[in-house]
Amino acid sequence: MRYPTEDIPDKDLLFRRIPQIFIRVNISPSAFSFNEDGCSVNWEKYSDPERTRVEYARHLPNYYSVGALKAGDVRGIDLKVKHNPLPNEREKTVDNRTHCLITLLPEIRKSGKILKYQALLANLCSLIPLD
Amino acid sequence: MEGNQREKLEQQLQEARDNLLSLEYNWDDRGAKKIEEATFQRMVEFLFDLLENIQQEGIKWELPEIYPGTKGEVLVQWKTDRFQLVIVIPEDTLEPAIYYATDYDKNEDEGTASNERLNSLYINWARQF
Repeated sequence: MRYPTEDIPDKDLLFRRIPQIFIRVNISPSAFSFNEDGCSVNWEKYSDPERTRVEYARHLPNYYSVGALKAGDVRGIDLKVKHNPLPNEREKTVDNRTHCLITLLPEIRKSGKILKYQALLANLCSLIPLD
Repeated sequence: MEGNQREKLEQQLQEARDNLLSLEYNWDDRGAKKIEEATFQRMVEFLFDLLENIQQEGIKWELPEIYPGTKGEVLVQWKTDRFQLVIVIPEDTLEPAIYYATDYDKNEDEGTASNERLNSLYINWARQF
């Protein structure tokens, strides 16, 4: 079913599933990859860290960690956060109300200079302890 | 001392090779590409070249963090509480390396660069260790 698109408060957390290979001493900037739509995250209103780790995952749970970002912090580095519940035009078969996108400003996307934003997201991200 | 640094780097690169080159297509569940041996090897050459240069300059060497990228690239990062330098070695040999450097304050730089430029970037930033 189609879900309504809602506003995400600055105080809310966004979860990102992160394969362990992106984590050494720090989190790799490459853990925050952008496709043409943006960088996918889950909104805490409709998900939690454990669900984020296992839902739609192709590997066993211990392959992943889960990182948390505060929506307001992400907006504070000139990125946009928008609720993007699935299904949508591109993913018609996935039912996922928690799905959100972190998106780049058009001029940044056009310039291709996104490494800075990947690094900033990695720096803002806190790993959540999971069993 | 210098031999020891090289040995530690070799050890780290062997571990990174085992981890990165064993990744299968879609290893991140989001369509990530495999890391090609040639891309990894370019990163190895860059790091040994850098180590040799900084040893000549008498600058402190820190082992980097090495990560896979989702488009077949390899990412190298030095990060302390005073600065961060990230270098991306792309899969496409025709594309230059990309870097991002910051002191978390007013000094910040992002762009593309040759190995020589990356060496000098590391040296400039490492002087602040």
